[in-house]
Amino acid sequence: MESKNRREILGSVAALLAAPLVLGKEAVVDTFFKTKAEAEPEPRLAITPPAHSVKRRG
Amino acid sequence: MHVFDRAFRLVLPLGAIAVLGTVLTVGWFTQPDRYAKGYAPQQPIPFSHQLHAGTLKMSCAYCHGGATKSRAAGIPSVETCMGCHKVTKTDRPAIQELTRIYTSGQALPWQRVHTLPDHVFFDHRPHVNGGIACQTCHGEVQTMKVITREMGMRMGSCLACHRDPHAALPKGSKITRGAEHCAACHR
Amino acid sequence: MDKHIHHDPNDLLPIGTPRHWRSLDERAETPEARQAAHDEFKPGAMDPEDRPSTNLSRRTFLTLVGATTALAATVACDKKGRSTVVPYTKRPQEIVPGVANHYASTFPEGRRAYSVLVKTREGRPIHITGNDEHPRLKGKTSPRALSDVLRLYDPDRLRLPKISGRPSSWVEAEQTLVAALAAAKREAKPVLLLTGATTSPTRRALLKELQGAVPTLRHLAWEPSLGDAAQEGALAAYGTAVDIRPRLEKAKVILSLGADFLNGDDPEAIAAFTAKRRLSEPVATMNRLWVLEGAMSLTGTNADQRVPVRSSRLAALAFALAKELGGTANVTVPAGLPASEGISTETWTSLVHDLKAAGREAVVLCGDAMPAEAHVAAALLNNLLGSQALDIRATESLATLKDLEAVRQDMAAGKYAAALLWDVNPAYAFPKAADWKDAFGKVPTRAWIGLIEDESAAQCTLVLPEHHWLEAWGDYLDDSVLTLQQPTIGALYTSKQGEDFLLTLLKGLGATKAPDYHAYLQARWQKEVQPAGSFASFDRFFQSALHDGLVRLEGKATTAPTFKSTALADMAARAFASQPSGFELLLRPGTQVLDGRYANSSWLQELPDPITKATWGNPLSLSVADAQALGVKDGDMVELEAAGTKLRHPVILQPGQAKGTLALALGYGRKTGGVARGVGFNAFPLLALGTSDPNLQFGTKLSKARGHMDLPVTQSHHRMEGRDLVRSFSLAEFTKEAEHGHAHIEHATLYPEQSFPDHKWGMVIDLSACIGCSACSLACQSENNIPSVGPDQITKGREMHWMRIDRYYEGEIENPKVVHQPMLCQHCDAAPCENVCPVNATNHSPDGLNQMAYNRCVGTRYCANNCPYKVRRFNFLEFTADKIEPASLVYNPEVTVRPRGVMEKCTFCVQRIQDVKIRAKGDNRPIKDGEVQPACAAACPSHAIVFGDLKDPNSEVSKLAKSKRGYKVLEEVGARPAITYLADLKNPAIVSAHEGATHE
Repeated sequence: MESKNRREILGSVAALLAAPLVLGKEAVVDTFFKTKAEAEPEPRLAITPPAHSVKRRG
Repeated sequence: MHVFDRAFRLVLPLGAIAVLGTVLTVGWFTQPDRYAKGYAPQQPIPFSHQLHAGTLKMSCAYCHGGATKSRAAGIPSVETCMGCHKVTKTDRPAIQELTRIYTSGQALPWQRVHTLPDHVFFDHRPHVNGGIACQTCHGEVQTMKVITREMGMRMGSCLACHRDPHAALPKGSKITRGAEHCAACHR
Repeated sequence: MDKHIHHDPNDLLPIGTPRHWRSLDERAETPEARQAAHDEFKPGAMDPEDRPSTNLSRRTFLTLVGATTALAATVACDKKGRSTVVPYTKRPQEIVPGVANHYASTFPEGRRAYSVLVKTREGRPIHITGNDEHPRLKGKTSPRALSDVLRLYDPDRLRLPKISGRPSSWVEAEQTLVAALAAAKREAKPVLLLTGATTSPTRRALLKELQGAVPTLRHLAWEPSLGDAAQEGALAAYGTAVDIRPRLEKAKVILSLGADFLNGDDPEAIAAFTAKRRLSEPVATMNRLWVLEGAMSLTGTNADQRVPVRSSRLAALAFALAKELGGTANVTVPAGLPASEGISTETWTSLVHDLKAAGREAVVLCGDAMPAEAHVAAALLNNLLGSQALDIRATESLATLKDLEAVRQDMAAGKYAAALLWDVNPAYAFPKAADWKDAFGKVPTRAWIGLIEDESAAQCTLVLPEHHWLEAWGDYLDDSVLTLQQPTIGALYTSKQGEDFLLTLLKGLGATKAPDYHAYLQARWQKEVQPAGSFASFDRFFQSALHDGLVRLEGKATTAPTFKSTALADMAARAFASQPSGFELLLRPGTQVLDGRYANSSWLQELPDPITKATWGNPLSLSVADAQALGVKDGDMVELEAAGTKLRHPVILQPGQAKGTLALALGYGRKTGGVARGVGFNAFPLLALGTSDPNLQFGTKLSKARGHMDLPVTQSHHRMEGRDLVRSFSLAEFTKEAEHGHAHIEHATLYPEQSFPDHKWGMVIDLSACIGCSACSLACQSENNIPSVGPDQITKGREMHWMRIDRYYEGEIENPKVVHQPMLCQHCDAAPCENVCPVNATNHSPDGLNQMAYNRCVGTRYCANNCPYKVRRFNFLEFTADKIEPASLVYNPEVTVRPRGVMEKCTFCVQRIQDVKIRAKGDNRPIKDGEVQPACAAACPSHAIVFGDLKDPNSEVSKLAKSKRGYKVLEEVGARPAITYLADLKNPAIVSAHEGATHE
């Protein structure tokens, strides 16, 4: 009975400490490693206004 | 008492303190500088407001004219700088670098000093149209060699003034309070 | 069963209130329906993304959650990284960052062209509305026009010319094609140019020049959505193809023979029709809409009097009507009509009486997909009535399926030297697609120019990217108004507009000197459009025209084609001929996707069909009686046998559909396009090739098949539970109603009274004017960055539209009355959602809005639970995966793009309210009534949504809110909504039809 309780508590503590790492592993990775997207940035589209168009005033 | 119980009475509080300590430390060190007062990053071109806005007495609106028309005051285009610097001080290395950027059509990435999180939709227009001096929030820009963040841009600072704007407004202003409802800035 | 839902529905209803039901289950009041109604979130709605079960107990889950919030908090903060701000190096003159620019342009769609205003930010178009300068459209436009800004940024757009699959250049492509054309000219071999229809005079001129340069050019203009029968009917009745435009402002009585003129494609007709229906006093000057149709259409849902009749029998009935009106001396109407079609004498006599009494103020409109004889009969009726309420104009004929079949045979025989496809997709839309592909493959040089590579492009050697219309030049003629199309953004990719491509071909053949289409357009305008003797220079004239987006041409009165009775006897004989037994299948263009060209637009795929509320697909509609006979329910699979093919298809039951009929939407089942691929079924192969009306298939067999599909419908997710959410009266009922009045229920409240010092924003929605087109929903999606979630999420009830249209049925299943109700956040003064947010993310503003602070929301969803209107939408998943270019370019920078875990809902377009307030403050003036237009109000073609300041007694919204027809939804709950609905009024001829009150 007691050992069952202790096992449960141990499990909770283990979960408490391990959970951030399991569920937050992306977070840990981001903190310590540069994400891939930074290494190869997407080429951005050039937005140019139209050459001969006439807009409405205001 | 079982040995485990004794251990728990030590481990659990220590564990809690450790977690709390980690959170606070990591948080402290990952807080973005650009929200903090006193942030004064190095700029790619050593532009001096002290010279242009101070000594030369150029109006803020000359470069940051968006403040009356749009939510963003804006940063002047390189073309605006070249308006004078096509001929002015062309011997200076900084100006030569500026000219190089202009002629190549490259972008000039300034280090952003005054910034708000994405969930804030700040609008310059009511502030500028209300007669509030730029210096009220941005500090005495005309004395800054390097732009330094004077105002801790937390919601509290905004609200403090919104609740009692008398000091910031020009004399004779009929405005008694600024907007305090969420949707004014958060949408 | 739960006691809470076992109340007597009539307890809550004032006497005489109609009872509506939302779906067939609810009507049948099955135990399943009641249980399902109890759950706001359907089973699976709150499941995390579909992962295999992890056997996670609740306790463990909470443990983990507690720990992760700690670490999550640290990483949720921004990184230490700096951020940069990059100005323009050379700022384009017209762009002030943060200030929107508007450009007038035109959205072309086959035989129609919509004059629009395009809002751009930092050089990118982000929102489309109607052009307010247009004399008839008056700022309104069609739902598809509103949605098309999305396609500019479609990631599947072709970006570079390709030759034989490898990236190439325009120069190489043009050289190849010029060589082919020159060779064809030398050898006198035909060249095929297949395009869509156009109303552009300049494009027509260009095509004429091309025809001159390549005499063997065979140009076919083909619109798969229009069907062939209408044109055949027009040729028989008028001797020429015609464009029929209703002028409903002149109509007292409208008879629709399967004509869906209220479906959103014709904003003018909608405005004219609804203008005569919003009465504050019950007066009999209201117009009356009779609809005779097989499949339910949006127009049918707005009918005052609707009669379900098989589409094939409409012509016979129309001829019988003509007989009653005194025409058709040489036509004998078979005895038995109309009773043989299930029409009572009372109904028939009323219809005849209405038409006779209205005379020239009556008009008969016939649907595109109806048989030719129906079109002839309609023309005859209009002729007999002397109808003034429509304009008939001669127009160019379009290619029919017979024409295409002839071309196909020639291609198969190896006659064609080259083929160019421009904005058409025959490999998808031609009924015998495999045969087409075989024949097409035999043409030596095959070129394709379009927006997104499709089924037809797959066969072509030259595959060329076309400009989106927002990047292109053009002009379009619509009945004395010549509208202009101008680029609103520099081309995103290495594309060209079709006309420019043709010009380079012409240049290659030595036939023109025009540098580009812009110059070509200006040249023609200078010569033919600028009025002779105009004082302005051409530049001033053209710039002014571009500013307005149009010029009005001096009326060159064109004589309307006259009705010819030569073909009457034949057509009547066809009309009265008996039809084969079996089901009658109506194939009509999809409301959202039309002929499939818009299938890659997630906004349109996700827009619920206004009647079935089905999304992402085209289920087969059949009548409830037939479904019961077959033993099928919504989503069950059936085997459909038609046109020599058998296919398995899910069904959807449609109240009001005529027995013995089936309806299926065209435009689905595409094989290309990231969004379009695999959605729905391609119904084009079912067209009845070789008959006069391909859109009507006879002798279809239907049998129950194995399997079931969970249809992604938004319809049954929210129930009515016996409350009078929609009030709809006949004129007679309303007179009674107005006398007795309706006690307004206003409960006392525990909370302190709110005070609204400056403004109190409110809205009035006129249900008499709302026709259900859903333009408001699309406009809202465009303005507020609302994500599309896909069919799987829709089956879980996670659609994200802030503005939805609820559709209610009432009365008999075989012929119900239908009403539409736009439902959005009611911005309640005593909002049930505000009190329950644990983090105060939602609260009330001093100007009457219910605010939502996304950054505060932690996603408990208590607010959505409490909302009696169920208008709060939760981001269950990261729905805005489109955070990368080009898809992200469509976002409105004034509105947050919400992440996962955040609740959202209608804000009354608070970004627009704030902008107007600040501008008015800056100009030192008060806000004008009507200055603030939320996206929905601006888009509604019938002006059904009115927004304004309830504190201003002179504002339109304040005046309308006092209307006798006014009421608030779920008033008894005590939420004090800021939106007043005006009851729907119907004007049936036979008063007992659709009478509300205590139905069975």
